[in-house]
Amino acid sequence: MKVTKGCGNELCMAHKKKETYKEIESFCSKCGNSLVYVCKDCYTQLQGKDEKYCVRCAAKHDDRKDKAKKVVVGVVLTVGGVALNFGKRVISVAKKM
Amino acid sequence: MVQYWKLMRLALYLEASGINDNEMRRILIAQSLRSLSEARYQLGQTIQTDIKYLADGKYNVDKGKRVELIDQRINSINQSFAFIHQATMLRAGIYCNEGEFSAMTTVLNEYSNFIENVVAKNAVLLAQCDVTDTGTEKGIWKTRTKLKLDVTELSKQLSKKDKTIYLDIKEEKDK
Repeated sequence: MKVTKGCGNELCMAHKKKETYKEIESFCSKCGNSLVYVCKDCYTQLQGKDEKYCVRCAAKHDDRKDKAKKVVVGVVLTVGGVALNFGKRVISVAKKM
Repeated sequence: MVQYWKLMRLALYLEASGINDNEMRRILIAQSLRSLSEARYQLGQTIQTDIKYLADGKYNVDKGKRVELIDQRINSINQSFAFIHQATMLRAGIYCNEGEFSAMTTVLNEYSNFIENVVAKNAVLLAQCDVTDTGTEKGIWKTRTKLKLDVTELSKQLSKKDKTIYLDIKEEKDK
């Protein structure tokens, strides 16, 4: 999992601008403070390197996925319904012929 | 609603302190203390339930509404916490005003236990769920963790027969 690091020093410009660092980096290039793991979306400080997002942002991502799934299912059902109706019409026309 | 409860109990105590009849005054003060204590206990339970809900990830049941559910719980936790904090300070103040220092230290100890067992233990989770928290040492929840009061020295001094307590002002400096 690609985690994000950030500066934990609230007075540092890197923290204020929410600048992110790669996982291999250990210190802030602006103030020299040791870097901490942060949420990729909202910059909230995280405890371990196992998480990419904080609880709230992870929930937000899951919500988006669910909404996208609902949209896909809706589209499939609509297209399926239209195709079914079209198929029935084609069959009825074929029978008449 | 919480604000209304708090004002009601505070008004009751203020009314009581203005009464001349000693007996009636004491009854009303006891009533306001009891009421504050009960409300504090109930809201303590509410906070614990809300934290357990977040910790168990029960918001995952309602798909597509997770963030909304998390925010609802965090709002409830913030409201309950504010009331518990103010009710505790009010109770401690009332006991102090009535010269009941032992009861006052008990209230402050109880609050310390609450901070230690409920807030400090879950500060990381709460900081991650609260949209207004940065998760740093100066964030809302980590600051609240520091509200843990050490009243052992104060209770020792208060239990002595001859009490001389010096009050001083502490100024917090930015690092």
